[in-house]
Amino acid sequence: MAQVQQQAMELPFYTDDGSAVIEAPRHLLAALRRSAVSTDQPKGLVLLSGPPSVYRLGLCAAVDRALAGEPVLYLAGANVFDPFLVGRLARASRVAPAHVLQQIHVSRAFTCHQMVRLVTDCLPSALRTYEARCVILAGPLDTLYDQLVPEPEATRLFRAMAEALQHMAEQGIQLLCVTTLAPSESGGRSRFVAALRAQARRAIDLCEAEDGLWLQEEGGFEPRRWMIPRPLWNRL
Amino acid sequence: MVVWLLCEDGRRLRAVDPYVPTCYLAAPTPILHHASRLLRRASCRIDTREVERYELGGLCPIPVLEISVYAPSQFSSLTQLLIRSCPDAQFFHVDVSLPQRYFYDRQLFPLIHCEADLTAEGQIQSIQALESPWDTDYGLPPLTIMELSLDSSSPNPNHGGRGALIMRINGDERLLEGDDADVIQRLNQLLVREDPDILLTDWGDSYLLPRLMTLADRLRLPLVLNRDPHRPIGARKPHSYFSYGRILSHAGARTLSGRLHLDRHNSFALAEVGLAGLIEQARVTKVDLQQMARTTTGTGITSMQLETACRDGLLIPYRKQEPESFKSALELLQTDQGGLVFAPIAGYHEQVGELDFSSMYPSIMVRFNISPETVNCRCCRDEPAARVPEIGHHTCRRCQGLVPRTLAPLLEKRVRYKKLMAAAAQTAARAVLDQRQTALKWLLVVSFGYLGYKNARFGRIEAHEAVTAYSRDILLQAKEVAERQGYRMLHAIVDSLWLVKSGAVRADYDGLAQAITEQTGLSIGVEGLYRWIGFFPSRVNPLMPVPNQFVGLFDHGGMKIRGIEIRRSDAPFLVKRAQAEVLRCLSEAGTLAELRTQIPQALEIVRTYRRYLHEGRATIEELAIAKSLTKEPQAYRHQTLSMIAAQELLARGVHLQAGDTIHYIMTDADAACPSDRVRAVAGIDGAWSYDVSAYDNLLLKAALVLLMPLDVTPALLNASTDPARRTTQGSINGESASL
Repeated sequence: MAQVQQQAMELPFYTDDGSAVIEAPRHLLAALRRSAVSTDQPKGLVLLSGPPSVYRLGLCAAVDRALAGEPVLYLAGANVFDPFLVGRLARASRVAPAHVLQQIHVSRAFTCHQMVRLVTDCLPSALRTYEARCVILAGPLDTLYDQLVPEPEATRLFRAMAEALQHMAEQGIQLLCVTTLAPSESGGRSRFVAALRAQARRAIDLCEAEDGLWLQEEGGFEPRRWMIPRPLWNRL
Repeated sequence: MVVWLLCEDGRRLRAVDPYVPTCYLAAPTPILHHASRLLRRASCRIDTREVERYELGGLCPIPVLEISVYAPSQFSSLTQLLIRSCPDAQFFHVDVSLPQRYFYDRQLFPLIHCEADLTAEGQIQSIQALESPWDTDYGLPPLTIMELSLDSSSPNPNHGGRGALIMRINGDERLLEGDDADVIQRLNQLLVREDPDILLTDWGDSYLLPRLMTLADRLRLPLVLNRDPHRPIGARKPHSYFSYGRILSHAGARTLSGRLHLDRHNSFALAEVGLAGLIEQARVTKVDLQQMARTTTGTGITSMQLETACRDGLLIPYRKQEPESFKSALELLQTDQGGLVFAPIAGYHEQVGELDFSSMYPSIMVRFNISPETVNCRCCRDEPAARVPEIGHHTCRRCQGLVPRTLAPLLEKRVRYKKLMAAAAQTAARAVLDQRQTALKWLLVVSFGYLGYKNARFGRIEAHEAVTAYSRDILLQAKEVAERQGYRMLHAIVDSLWLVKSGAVRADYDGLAQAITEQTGLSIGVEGLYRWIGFFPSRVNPLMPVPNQFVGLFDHGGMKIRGIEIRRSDAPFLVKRAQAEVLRCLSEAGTLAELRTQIPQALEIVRTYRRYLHEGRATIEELAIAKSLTKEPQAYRHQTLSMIAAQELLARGVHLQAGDTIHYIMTDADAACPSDRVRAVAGIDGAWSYDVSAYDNLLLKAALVLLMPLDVTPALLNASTDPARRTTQGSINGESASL
């Protein structure tokens, strides 16, 4: 499969406090590559959390990897996979959407039991089948917030999933876990996000503001921020 | 298991069947030993044995531990203990309701005509069915029904405006007035004396029964709502849930033992298919009547699938764990599609025929053997005839799946009911048959959704995709057959087509239906021939056609109406009535040319209603707007009209949850102060007024949707129906509108 050439590019604008301004889809993808799904430190778990728009950002990261010619495994827990966004991003990069869509392999889980089975049992074999190193987990916790599942059972399932993720991260798999914040009625399950954060090599928070979306990474060598202007985001 | 029997001599007997439910557990030996140790500590008799059973779609049986619990009342707590203590074990048959399991295992169903041998102590020694759930000609036991409701015009007594208690039985109606103690004592006397089998209430779950029980408790007075003195009254809290993309509110439940409590305002089945339909659903699904009345139709179809699994000796998994297989995003885009829709050609057309596939999706499941275990089976992947059109799936050609096995008798029974309906001479008999076939229709409708529903026990998304792929292919085949015969398609939506051909008569459309049935293998019939039909465009963009928004006049004089105010639950009654009158006026036209001649008369009707509004004569009932809360009241960020009404109710101490319906009137929709914009209807008192302009707009919109395709512009409509203009005389409710 032809590999799309991607060049490192400087972001053209910065805000007063030195944060990068991302002004085009290709800039957005490039920024994500160098931040959320970093290529300089490819291993491990990265957590991207915030309001529901994180799912679109997670999909942008998947497209970025697929444009680079990498097979991507996309595990959809919140039924948020949007193939039309993939198509738009592919066209913005002057690549046929079908080419990118074929590089992303999707499985949807509608219950927490399915999600955990997907991560613990199906994912390792899918990584081998598709020779993939990059995994996007979109909404792995959403199914665990289901009030029909008792909290102790949800906690047990979460632990099984977190262990499997830890094991894969140690094996050198790139894991981008995209999640919204816990809903107010999640009770003890609100700990799940914090537990994933503690486990992640990097944690990036997304905040929505009137001027755009702010990505902020805490920890690491130095705190970093990126801004995606609202007009660009709305155009995606 | 307690079983209530209505004997031929009229006695109501409480009998006990020594039923022993079982469940199954699959796990490594150490876990099985741990489970056995736990079971030995149980306070009732428990038998275990190692057996082999099949999972759905499994090629080999798996070894499982069969656990038989001799005290059904302890079954649930024991299985929950095992689930908590053995988290790595696989459980089967643990969470199916015991009354359902009892019906499956004993081959019985609710309200069955049966024969039982009892001991003197009332223990059942044998019990046998004397009829089949698939019988269409069955009688019902002579049930005594007591109705309880409130003498109030409030849309919801939980929101205010309560009245006195009304009791009806055997055609006798009584108003139970007086102080609280009087009401409780008189009601209790009536319950003891009449001993009804069914308590049919309005708002019984959320208001009436809880209120009566609280009063009786506070006054320390007896109130024998239950017939069975050994059992407490079942209580379930209100809750909200998602269904078909909408959030709905469930009012909780108050269920009785030895007697049935049915709440007309908390039962989808009762509202849609009446008591005859509800009983039909309970008979075929084997879900007890009180639960069937309150649960979703999907629970019914699931129960039928569980029974099929039990009958075939298959294990029923506790939690569905099998996720979707990985597929490329391109495959996902191709497979994850719904039914096919051809947008309508907007405007009025004449001499149109409508053809509908009969129960299309369930028929596809049966004909093409679509079931979770048959889609992408291992045995038929290379058979060309097994391929699903468009997408890469295939279905099994060798073994009939669980879902088709479950649905086939349901489809067949509905066909028999339709034939009986066509032959029925009496209106009452036809109405009962219609309720029963509609009840089956609802079960068939949800059977498709449950293939893809997350909590469906035997659902699988690939099976869901296969059904829609077949449906798209079949609709295209139907279109091609029609076009080959010279018909032009005006609109098609999933399983229905609207076609036109100059000079075509009923026999031609019947011939076309026959040709399509032969081509596709699925039954399609002529829904009717329209003298004229109007497909309406989007109200936002008049150039954009909208599927399933139309009005048509059949050749037999009836009308079919979809998607406009008269069918919408949130339109004020006055607007619905005005639209109905305009439609009645238009229905006097048999052709498009005649339709145009009706325009002046239609405009006059609109003018009469506008005048009625402007004179301030509309009543609360005519103006009330019903809206459902799409989220919890606290979660609203904007001051929508329904939110403002909800806030008024919350301030009065009314409990509200997502999915609740709020009734309000618009008092001054553009007022600067939000609380001035609307008022909640329940408990409204004192002086009130309504926003004439806001309701006038709704009225004009409802008229415009019908008249705009006849070249009546908004400006023309407004000017020609000006309420200040005095021309001819009109009336509302047969009352002169004081012109």
